[in-house]
Amino acid sequence: MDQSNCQIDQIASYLDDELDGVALSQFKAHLIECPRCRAELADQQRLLGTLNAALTNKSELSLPPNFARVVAAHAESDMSGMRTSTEHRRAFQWCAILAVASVALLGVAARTYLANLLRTVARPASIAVDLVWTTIYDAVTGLVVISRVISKGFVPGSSLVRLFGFLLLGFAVLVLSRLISNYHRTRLID
Amino acid sequence: MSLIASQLALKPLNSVVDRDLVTSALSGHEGGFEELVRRYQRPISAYVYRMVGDYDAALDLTQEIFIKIYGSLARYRPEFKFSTWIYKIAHNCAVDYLRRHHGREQSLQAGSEGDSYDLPLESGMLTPEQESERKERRFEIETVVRSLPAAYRELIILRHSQDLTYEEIVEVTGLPLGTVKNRLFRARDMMRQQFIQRGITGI
Repeated sequence: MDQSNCQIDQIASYLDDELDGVALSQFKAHLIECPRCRAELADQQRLLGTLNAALTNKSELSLPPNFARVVAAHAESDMSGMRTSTEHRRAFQWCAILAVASVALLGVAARTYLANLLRTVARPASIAVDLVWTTIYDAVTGLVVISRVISKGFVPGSSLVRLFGFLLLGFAVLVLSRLISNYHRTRLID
Repeated sequence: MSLIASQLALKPLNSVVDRDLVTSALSGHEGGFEELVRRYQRPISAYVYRMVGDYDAALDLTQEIFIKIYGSLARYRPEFKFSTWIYKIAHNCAVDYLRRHHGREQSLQAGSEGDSYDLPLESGMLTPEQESERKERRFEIETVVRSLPAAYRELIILRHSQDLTYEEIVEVTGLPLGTVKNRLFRARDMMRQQFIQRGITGI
């Protein structure tokens, strides 16, 4: 008897019908010669028989009545259960159509109310905008006219004289500010 | 409606193969998915119950699994076995559940004999004595199964309760074949040791 050839894990494979061909022939040949493997085989056979008898699905878990129908209904009504991109696209299209239809129906129902509301709001708003616009336009136009009149009255034709006029104006502003500051200083000393 | 779906409408649903029921459900045929649920509700709920160890949680999780299956039907490829595919979804849901309820999983691993583990099972055609004996033996075995770490327990359930082959277990769990074999071997060995410790004979 050659126990060095013993492959204990082969016993499980043999009992589970997972050995075939050469492996099966070699194992059977070894089994004839090896009492240790035969004993192990008998032990495992008993264990497997017990397990199969105890765990077999012939004794099944008790399920609530109509379990299959309830589960199938839940699965089929579950939105996340949509299986293909075509289904998703079709669902999206239906949602869009329903949304548009809902908005349209709501629009028809609320048309009179919305029209009155818009009319009430639109007229004062347009008057206010018109008023603001006219005021701004008039103010800007007035400023432009005044500045043109002033510039025509003060600035003569020749550029040399115009430069002189600007310098004189600048000098006058400087002198005036100096005079004003002197006046205030004198009043403070007094 | 597709050709297959229109042909199915003429057949009783319980004579239709899974693949055609999937086609039928995908084409919106009423009853197609319900028949699939009817076929797999018991094995899936039993698997889930043994994984989570709580009856109400198992029912909720089973429902969640079937909703996920319905949502993923379009991704099912007919070259794979339908049962393996749904076990894969159930496995993922159960693993997520155990991850979310880590404390519960710890207590399952440390499950003692005193814990209530009375399976709400449907009774068969046995005498009261046989029924009582069978229930007692089942209780012992279920307790031992429950005391296994989740990674080992699942393989025992898939192999012995759901009767999946090694190849199918590999597909469901995503584990390499060698790991599946090794864990099954170790799980059985652990169980045998526990049976000896508990003085359970004849196993």
